[in-house]
Amino acid sequence: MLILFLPLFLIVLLIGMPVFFATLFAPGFMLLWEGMDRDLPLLFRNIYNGIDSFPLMAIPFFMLAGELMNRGGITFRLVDFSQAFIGHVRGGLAHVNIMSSMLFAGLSGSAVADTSAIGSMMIPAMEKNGYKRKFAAAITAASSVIGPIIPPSGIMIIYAYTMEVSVASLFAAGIVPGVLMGLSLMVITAIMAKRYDFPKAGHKYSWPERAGATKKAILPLLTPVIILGGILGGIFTPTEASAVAVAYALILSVWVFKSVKLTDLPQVFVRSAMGSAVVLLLVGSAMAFKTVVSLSQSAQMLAEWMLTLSDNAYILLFLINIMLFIVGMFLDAGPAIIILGPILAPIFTSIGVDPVHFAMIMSVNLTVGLATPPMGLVLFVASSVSGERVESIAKAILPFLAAEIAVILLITFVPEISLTVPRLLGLMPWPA
Amino acid sequence: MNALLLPLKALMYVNTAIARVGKSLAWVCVTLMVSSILFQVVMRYVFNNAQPWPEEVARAFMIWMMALVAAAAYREGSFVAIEMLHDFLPRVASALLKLALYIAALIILYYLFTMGLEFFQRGFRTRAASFNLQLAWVYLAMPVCFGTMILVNIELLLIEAGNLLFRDFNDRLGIKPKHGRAQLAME
Repeated sequence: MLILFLPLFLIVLLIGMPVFFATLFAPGFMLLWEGMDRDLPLLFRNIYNGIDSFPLMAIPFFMLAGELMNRGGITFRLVDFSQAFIGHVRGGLAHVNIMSSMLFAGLSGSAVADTSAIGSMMIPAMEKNGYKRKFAAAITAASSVIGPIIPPSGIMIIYAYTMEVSVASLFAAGIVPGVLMGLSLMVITAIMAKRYDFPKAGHKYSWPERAGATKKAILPLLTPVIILGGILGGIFTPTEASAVAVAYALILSVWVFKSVKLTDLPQVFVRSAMGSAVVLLLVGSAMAFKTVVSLSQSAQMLAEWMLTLSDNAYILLFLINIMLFIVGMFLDAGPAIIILGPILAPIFTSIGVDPVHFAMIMSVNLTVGLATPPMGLVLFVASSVSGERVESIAKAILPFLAAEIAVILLITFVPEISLTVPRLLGLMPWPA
Repeated sequence: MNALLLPLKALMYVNTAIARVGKSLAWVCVTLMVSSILFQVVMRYVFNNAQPWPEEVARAFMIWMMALVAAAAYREGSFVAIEMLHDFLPRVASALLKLALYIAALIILYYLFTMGLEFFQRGFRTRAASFNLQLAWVYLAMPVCFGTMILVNIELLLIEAGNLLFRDFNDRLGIKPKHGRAQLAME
């Protein structure tokens, strides 16, 4: 019974085996058990082929570009820009925090980078302005999950590659959900601002002042235009766009803003190499895992079982949302996608859910999981940036999580939210 | 305790040296990856003359980049795991479980290493599609990756075993308790 590798996999994962080893241990052990030793080199071959990939190269490159931008002092330019436009309303700095996260999301594809960059700037500023520190930390964590939803996005590159969907359509599909996520947080902030009488962040900027802030932020703000324009316009492949983003970030941080020294570069490069080495190994092991998923026909068996629960796609999607949300509480988005994608995606595409739509449901749901207690990674990062305890941030974040869950449900049940932009850009066909 | 401490210290010294060499080569790999893709972009869009080799070269450098720093990343604890259970288990049970997990990881890495070596040897029969090099020299990255990870895995295993046997083991080794999850993510 090769299919027993799935429960075995769950057990070793839950007792603390690192995901990379667990995705190889369970299938490898079951192959040996079943006397299918000859298939072991096939696992190895798939790890290698999984890593030896041109599309995956975008991951180290986007990581590097984001890191360079962050060190290059662009965060304060983005914050300044947001402040100039929405700082004067009630709850101004909270809105500035959210808007900066959305802008930052267009440069980086990682929620952790977003939390540490914006948090270390905004949390002290908000505290000084009269906000409670746990509230400032909570809103930083809640808004940072927009990072991997608005393109570019590391997890969407991983998803596209392991599930054979186009990166360009996933990037295009993420724009509206990401903006919706930000707007929903702003609505909650506005309601709370009225009820709890949040402070304003200062005077209303005049238009010349706004023009000044825009001028300072315009070069970093052009990054998403170059990346997305290039990819969605069909000029660059995502990998080429990510290399161009590295070059652009280098030029900005080393020569234009002069905030990174050439001698700092090796260290920055090594950090992104180490971060992506872990991701590459995970993707490789996921490709091996995927082979055994199809050898064992477990996706078909799970699909049959799920269809006995209900044959209504909406009910199944709702159930899967709950499951993903729980998984997201314990596991980071990248590994969760790598493990669950190959099992779940075929089931849902077979009952007529669009693959790009399902990719959005999974990515958004699992990214929000980054900000949910008890294991949400960005909660821990927000805690160490702010010095506030994880438990108190976890309580303060609840109203924002409620808003994000509402957006998840909206994205799940209204496919057009995700699919309209890729269709308009001609990346996907319109439904007949 | 010394019978455990001395070989472990030697191993830690070796692993630190490997990590240092790996890191100083990895950033060169990253630089060459970025350069060859940018070169291709310029050739394609400016000179309308795309070359056959940059993508394959960049892929080879990416595999080596990964292989050179994977062990260091493993050593610094960046391999994601669900460690919740360990917070609830008594100290000894948790340490025993961790030992078992390290042994399992060691077996997996051993398999990967030997298969990687076979893969390397077979690579002498094939050449890269776009440049004149036997693919074995790219494939070599895999046994290097898993071999260095084996050394790190043994180090982690011995540290865990030492801590189980002797209370003051970490002090004698001169290592501080592990970083939190968030600190690791932010480094």
